[in-house]
Amino acid sequence: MALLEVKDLTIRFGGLVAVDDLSFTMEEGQITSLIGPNGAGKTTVINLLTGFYTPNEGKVILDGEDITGFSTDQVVSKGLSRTFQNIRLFSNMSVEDNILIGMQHRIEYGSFLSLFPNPKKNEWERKAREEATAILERVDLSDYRYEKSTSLPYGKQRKLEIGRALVAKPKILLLDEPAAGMNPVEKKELSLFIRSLLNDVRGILLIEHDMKLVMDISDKIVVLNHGAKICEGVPEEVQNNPEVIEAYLGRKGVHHDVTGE
Amino acid sequence: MKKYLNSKNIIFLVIIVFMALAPLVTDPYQLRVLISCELNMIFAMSLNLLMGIGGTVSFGHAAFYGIGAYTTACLWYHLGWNYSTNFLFVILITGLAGLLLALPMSRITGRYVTVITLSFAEIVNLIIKNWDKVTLGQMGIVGIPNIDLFGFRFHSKTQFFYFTLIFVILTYILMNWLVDSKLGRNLQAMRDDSIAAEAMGIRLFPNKVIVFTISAIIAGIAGSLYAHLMTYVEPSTFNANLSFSCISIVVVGGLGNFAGTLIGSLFLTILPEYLRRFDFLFKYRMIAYGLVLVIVMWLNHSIPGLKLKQAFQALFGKILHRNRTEEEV
Amino acid sequence: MLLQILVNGISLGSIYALTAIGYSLIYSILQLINMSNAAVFLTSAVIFYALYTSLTGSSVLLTFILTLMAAGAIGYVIEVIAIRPIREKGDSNTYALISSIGVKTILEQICQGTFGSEIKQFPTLLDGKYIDLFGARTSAIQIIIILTTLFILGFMSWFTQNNRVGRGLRALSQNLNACHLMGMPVNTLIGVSFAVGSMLAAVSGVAYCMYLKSISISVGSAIGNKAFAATVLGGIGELKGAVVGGYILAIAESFVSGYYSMAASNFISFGILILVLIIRPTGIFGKKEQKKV
Repeated sequence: MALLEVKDLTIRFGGLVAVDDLSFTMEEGQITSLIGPNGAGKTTVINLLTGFYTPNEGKVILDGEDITGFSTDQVVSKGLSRTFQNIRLFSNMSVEDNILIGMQHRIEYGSFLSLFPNPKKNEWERKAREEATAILERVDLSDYRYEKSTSLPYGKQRKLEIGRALVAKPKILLLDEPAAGMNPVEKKELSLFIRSLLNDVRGILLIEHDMKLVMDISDKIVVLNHGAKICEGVPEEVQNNPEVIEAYLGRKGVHHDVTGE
Repeated sequence: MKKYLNSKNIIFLVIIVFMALAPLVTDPYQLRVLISCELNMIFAMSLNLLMGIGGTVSFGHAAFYGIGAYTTACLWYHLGWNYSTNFLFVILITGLAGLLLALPMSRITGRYVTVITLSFAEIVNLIIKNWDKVTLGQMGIVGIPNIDLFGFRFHSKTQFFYFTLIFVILTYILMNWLVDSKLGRNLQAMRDDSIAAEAMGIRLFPNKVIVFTISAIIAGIAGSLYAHLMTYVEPSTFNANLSFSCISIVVVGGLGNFAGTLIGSLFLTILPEYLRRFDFLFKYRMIAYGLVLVIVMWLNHSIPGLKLKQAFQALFGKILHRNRTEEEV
Repeated sequence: MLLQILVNGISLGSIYALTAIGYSLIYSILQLINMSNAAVFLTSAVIFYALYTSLTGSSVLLTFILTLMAAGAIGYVIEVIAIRPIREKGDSNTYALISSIGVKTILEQICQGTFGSEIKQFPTLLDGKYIDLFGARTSAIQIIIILTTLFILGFMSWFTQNNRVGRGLRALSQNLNACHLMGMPVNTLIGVSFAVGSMLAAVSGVAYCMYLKSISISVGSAIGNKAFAATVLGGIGELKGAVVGGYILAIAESFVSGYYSMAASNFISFGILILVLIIRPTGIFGKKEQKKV
């Protein structure tokens, strides 16, 4: 059984069909990438999966459970966690607090018990901080624990965002253009890091512009154009698919732009 | 224990110790000013919870203060109840009012929050003014007795002062517990980036409702104490200017900084009283509230977490800095 | 009766509309609710009163022109002192909003300090002259107010459509940053729009007091809040919305006070406002905001 199954997903904004009858699957322990030219509808797919938008048609099945039309908080607790294209950290909170927000849905005391000290709250706070310590270690940010999140350098902010998503203990991690704004050295480091994340989660859905990165680390690639899937397969298949080349270049021919060399 | 020894808590302790000793040296008039200070502290802390932590600027917070004041006044006037029972109703009614104001918040964002909170306060004020049977309308309710707790009637302002001081302390501690908890963190996350907060699985609406309700209850308690301090209530007290003064106090002390709010309350309550002494300033003393807003916004507003210290730094540090760069050029 | 109510409503609506345009104009450019607008309304009326009684003798026109100039200057200065420093640091509009509340408090307190808190008689025009409009007793000042407003509205729409400054203002409301990059004098234009907003508030402030034939310190906040409600009702940031909202509120109010009671008429404007915000939060002409993820 596939870890995530997307079936005939469609959403329309007014007259515009932003995602058109999209189907694909994600397998356990793999990195699946969603690529496509600007405006192909990639981020819209993430917004559909995470409950920011409700699809007009179609289904999203996560680990055998239908989560179509679930609200964002339900989706998070079912095991989908995301990062954002343009980093969205909680700018006036510390690095640690950002991490703690990531795990808030697993902290089992409610608003009333928040108001005064009590055993349940104390116990959970202790546990939460322990987990935060572990995650900060994992994303290599232990030294920055009490710093303001926006005071971190760019690359570390990315990692913090990933840490914040990881601490939610998701089944699937959705990374929306994690390499945006990075130089080649940083990208190299990032691709190793993303690969290593498969130890923490059961699957990764990657949306990325950088072809080299995508071709390097993906197990499977889904190509979108104008909201519809034009190709799906392992990197080699996708690279040689004429339709993909056309979508990227507008005409047949030049090959190396797609391969990223 | 060490984690409680930060600069804010030390400021808090110093203020409380000074306040607690103050009645030994003050005359009745000064004591009255200090009680106003305490009420402003509670009131402004409740607004700071909403503004600094919740990220919602309420322009009608006076409504809750007014509802609190009128609840206890009306219960005393019509039913003859004492403060111990009234207190429960103050909590209940102001809590409901907060809930009511929070309901439209599910549909609106940004600019409409300003609109809704302003209109809410305006409507509450109109109701108080016109519901003659209950609130006695424009005349107001007079002769409200000093606080009566389970048959023990306070007979001096000094007792009232210490009773209110307990509320200041409790409010401050509650705020600190709240901020350092799941609820407090979620609220701050919503304040910083509501979309990211949603993506992390925070349900915005229930959190908004809770913070509005808590804030309203605390403001209402301050209002109920006000009614017993002044011994009368009238509608014009609880107008938009009261809400704006409260915003001034919060802004001076720093958004999200509760110790700062205490300093802000002392500063902005005592300064106008002090200015009364000067004939030429007497008529203009309330300008302080406005000036402070413009100046603080002008100097430093890289908040939330604007601190008084930073404001001073901005004041003196900035000027030095500017000179230096001019020399370099 | 019906016609009489309508005439009263339209004259009051004119006053709301003029003030409401001030709110909308600034909002359309800066997305800032400029709370000082109501205080400028009051300040202008006080300035008019002070000039009329002490300096200019009995020339209403001269006093009026001087008041307009003063209001324009006040608007420009407010922008320079209280809004610009915050704007240029690129901070959230909430801080500019708080700063504008500061300005409002300062202006109101100055007015209260100099003017006092009693109600005083305000000069008016053509006192006691009435025209019978199909049975509706229409005072001369009502006609003057309505005609002046129509003239100003016409002028404003011509101004924003066809004039160089007007085009600049429209461009600003589309994209402030782009205007900056294009080398437009953004600061001057924003200053001018504050001046224009303040002058409109001045016209309505003076007109309202002439209509009442009296002035007191509370006129500013009373009309300011209603005008603000009108702005939101019409869709904040939309100039035509401000006008339509102003007239709707005022006519509804005069109907309720005509057929029911004065007290209820105060409720009606905020009742309508809350209702609109629940049913259609963007107001009548407002555009819907798309949630951006």
